[in-house]
Amino acid sequence: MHALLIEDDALVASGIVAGLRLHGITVDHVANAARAKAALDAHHFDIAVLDLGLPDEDGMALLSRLRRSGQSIPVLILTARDAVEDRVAGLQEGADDYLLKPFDLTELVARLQALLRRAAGRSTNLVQHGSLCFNPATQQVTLKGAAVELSRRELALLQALLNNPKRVLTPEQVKDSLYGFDESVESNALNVHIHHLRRKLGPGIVETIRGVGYRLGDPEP
Amino acid sequence: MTLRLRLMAIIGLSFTLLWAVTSVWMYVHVRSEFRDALDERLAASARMVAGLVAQLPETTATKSASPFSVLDVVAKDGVACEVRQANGGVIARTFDSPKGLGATSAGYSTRTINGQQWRSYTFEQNGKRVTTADRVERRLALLRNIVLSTAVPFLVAMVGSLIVLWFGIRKGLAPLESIRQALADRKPDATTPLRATRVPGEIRPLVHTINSLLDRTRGAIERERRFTGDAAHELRTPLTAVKTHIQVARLAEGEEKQRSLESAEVGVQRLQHTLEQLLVLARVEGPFNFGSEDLADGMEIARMALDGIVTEQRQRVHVAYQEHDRKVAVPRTLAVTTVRNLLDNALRYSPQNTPVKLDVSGSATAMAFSVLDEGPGMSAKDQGTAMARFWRHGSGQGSGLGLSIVDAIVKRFGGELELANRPSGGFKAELRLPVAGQDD
Repeated sequence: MHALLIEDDALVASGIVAGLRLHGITVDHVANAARAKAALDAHHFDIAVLDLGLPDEDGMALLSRLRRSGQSIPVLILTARDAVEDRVAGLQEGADDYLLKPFDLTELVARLQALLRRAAGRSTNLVQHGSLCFNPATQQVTLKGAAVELSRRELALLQALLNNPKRVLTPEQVKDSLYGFDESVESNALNVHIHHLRRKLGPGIVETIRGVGYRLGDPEP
Repeated sequence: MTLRLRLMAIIGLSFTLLWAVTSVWMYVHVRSEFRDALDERLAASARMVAGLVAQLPETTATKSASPFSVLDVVAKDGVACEVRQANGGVIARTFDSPKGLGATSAGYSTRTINGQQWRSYTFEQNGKRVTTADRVERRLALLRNIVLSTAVPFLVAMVGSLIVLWFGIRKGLAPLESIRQALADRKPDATTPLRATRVPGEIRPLVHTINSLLDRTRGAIERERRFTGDAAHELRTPLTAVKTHIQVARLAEGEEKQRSLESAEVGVQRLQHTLEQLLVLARVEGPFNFGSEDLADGMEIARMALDGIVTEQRQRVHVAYQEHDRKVAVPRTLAVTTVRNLLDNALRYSPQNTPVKLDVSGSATAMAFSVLDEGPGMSAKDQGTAMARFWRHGSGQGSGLGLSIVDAIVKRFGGELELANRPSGGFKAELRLPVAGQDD
């Protein structure tokens, strides 16, 4: 999962970034609305965490601007304002969830996963793909009932594929799901991760569409 | 007492009183006119009878038949009449006239004969005396009839006008009543203005006053709500940082754990600073007494203010002190807070390598603390909002309460605060606090 955190307070942001990374989520942080817009335009994110009190533009205004421009990314609003009107306004402007500061990291992570699950059209947390089972909350993978050890990047890759079944992802989209945009990526790193994933979960897990990108393979019985 | 009853009492009473005086006056006038008219009639009757008697032949004058027919003319009008010889012998008399009616001198008189009051007129001509008379009782009855026949319509008209008055006042006060109703029907927290349409000119100022009051109330509620929201934000943000970093520290290990704990501590310091600032503000603006606190002179205040600043920042401050023996008439802790907040701002918003000057100089009435920096200054727009609570320039790390506190202290203790860009560049904040009297 690749999340964009839009939060102006550096101290809060560093805590959230560290916390989400510890839960296996790739996070990028921007401190104002202009940078948030630029980041969303340039990269693919699975989800956005938005603080309402931004220095250059109200978070709510940014949200409605994003929604008007056709941006459908799931958005969780994170704010210290607790008035009911604020919450209702946030949800009506196009937010998908609302979390009041201060919050529990585990709750934030659980809500992000729930939003993502919904965005992928699933209603249970466990992702079943043939004999493969993935639990986003615990980041555990089992194949025919046996646990499989995956690295952080491999998990992110698997999750990106599972969240977009039947869709072809370009190498750029896959990389965006795996890495923060300030991380340097080796040119063949993606191939290495795909190779490892195929070795651990069977060659059919990733389908290569030549010249276009990658797709989740058909489930194995 | 309702306005309606008041109006009714004032107008109704004066109305009734005026009419009562008028009617008494009219009655007195009518009565005397009436009396004159009846007296006039008596005299006319007497003269007419005398004239008729004089025309009768002398021989028949002593007979009783003819004079009686003459007297019938006046008797028909209800006037009693008696004709006498000059020596007192009665010649003729109407049948209802009492004995002794003519035993009087010429002119008008009122007498009681046989228990009845009579008003009579006696006229002498050619040795005959003609006396005509009315019963006073009949006169009074006649007068009563006249008074009664005019008084009844008069009373009806008066009661009618009081009723009309009652409804008129009610109708006239209807706009007030409708405003009252509109106010009574409102929800307690409604602050929308009353509509001023269809309201008479006299009441429009009232509606405007109510509306401007509502407007101010709405402003106050709005400010209060914003303050609560801002305070929640200012307290929750560092609290969130602390909580998140502590949770991260629990999950992480080694260096990352250490970093998170340090971040949590920074968050705690920020929270503490904001809380302290809020408490100072609450103390200054609240109904608390600072009377027993010590006063200090300018130098002492400047030194204590500097003590509250971290060492590496303190080295940037250059103090110029002009000797002055008077003490500042503001409790020491608050005076120190104002100066430190101004220094804090100057240090925070000017480049790290530039100096900040603190000039302390006193006059007979005030001690002036000027804080001068070499930073970018403040735009006119920012100067307008700088005193607002939780306002801070850009994403500065202050609590946003520093200048609000200075402003609150200055307002409470009668000082002055001037913010201005320096012509030579940089920013100047000049604070003038009142000094205590010589004896203190």
